[in-house]
Amino acid sequence: MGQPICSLEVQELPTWKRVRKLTLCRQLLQQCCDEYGERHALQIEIDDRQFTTAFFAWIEVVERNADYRHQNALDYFQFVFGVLLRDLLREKAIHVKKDASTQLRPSPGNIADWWPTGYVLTYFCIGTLKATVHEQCAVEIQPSDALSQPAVWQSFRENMIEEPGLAIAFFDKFMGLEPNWREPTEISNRPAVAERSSKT
Amino acid sequence: MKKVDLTAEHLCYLNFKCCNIETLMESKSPLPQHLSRDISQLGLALRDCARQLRYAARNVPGPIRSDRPLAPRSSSATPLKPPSHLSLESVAHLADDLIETAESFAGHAVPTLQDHWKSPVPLQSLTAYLELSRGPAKTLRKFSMAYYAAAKRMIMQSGAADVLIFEHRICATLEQMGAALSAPQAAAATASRSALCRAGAQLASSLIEMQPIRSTRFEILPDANAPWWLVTEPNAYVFLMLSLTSLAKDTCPSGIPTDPDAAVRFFSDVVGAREAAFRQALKGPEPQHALSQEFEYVITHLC
Repeated sequence: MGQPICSLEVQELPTWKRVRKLTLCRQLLQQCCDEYGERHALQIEIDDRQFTTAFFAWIEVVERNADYRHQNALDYFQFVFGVLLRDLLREKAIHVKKDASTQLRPSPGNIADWWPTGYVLTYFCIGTLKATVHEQCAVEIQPSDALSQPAVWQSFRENMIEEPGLAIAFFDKFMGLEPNWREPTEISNRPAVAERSSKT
Repeated sequence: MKKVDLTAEHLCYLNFKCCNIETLMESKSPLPQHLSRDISQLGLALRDCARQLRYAARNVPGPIRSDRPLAPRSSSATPLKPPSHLSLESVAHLADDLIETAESFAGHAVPTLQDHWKSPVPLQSLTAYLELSRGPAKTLRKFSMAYYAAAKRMIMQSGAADVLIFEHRICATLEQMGAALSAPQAAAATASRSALCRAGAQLASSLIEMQPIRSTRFEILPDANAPWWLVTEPNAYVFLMLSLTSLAKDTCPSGIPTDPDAAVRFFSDVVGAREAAFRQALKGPEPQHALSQEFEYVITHLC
């Protein structure tokens, strides 16, 4: 796998601020889609209505759980970007351009071609998470090996269709964290919260 | 004889129905009220006269012209005298012509006045409209024309076959807002983002209360282009969307699409995404306050 897509450049306006604005978040996602299109010769389009729905659903979760940021900023960002992945996937915020879908020759070994929308959205959330954590917590994070394992992606795709909330758990796995497979949408049940509670 | 009776009954029914409809109907154009009343009264009187005339002409007993025996033509050089009176039938025809001509003129005159929705409708900022609200009545039409046209265009582009909107109700809303605000109050309304959101919420809730959209007709059940909320409550959906568009022109002028149609689509998506919150705000005990908070929430996360 070469250089990952959606590696955000440092800009004047912090990523965390940009990603919480509808128009700026859309711009960031559009950049990812364009980058994917250049590398894979397959055009991905944003469905504006679905993207807007996903965005506002996500913002509600971000604000509702803002207190957790004071307890564990790293895990807070990990969780909210997992929720962003869930909402974008659930609402089908992007799709392969209609006349381009015939070009697909899916093979599970090549994740980018096998599941373009899942691939783009996952890398979009990883890119924004990395940039946010770097800017807000001065910490560099890297994805785990699970991100390059087709079997994990196959499981992700299959399970996500039945239970979109599992996108949060798979996002944790991709970032090398222990997921809460049972209740991934509950921030209070995250392993990091339990770990912290047991220490205190 | 039977034919004459039926026609008379039919005409009486038409006269009755027409007068009642005219009395109940509101004019679509914002004419000054006193003029509108006068013109309406004049039209009614004229129409009633013509119909009475036609009714009388058709019901006077006596032979009609075609039943009359043909008079033998004189072979002398004496010129034919014009008839000393119009036949009853020709009077009835005259009355028919009069009504048809009047209706035809009216039919041609009205649509051309309200065609501006057929092109993209750029909306101005909320502050620009609030300034208009304290100006003369003529300038208020800039607001009502823009909102009327944008509303109609949005609904028609969502797949409606027809829509009826009373432009003068839109005009009256802003006029009332302007009348309620003193100059210092008006200045304060644009002083901060929160104040602008309050003014935007006031405009939206007043427009929704006035119900300018009287009817929409969707022949085919709407697909993804027409959100169900638009179909069931067009006033709420459309005027929230238009008020937000104007508000955003003030609060984030560079972030939203510049193309008028794209801007409407953008805010239509935003209203759709926040539908539950907007509905809750409108149904709450203090809808204007709740709406203002919701506007601010949305605007904060736009750009």
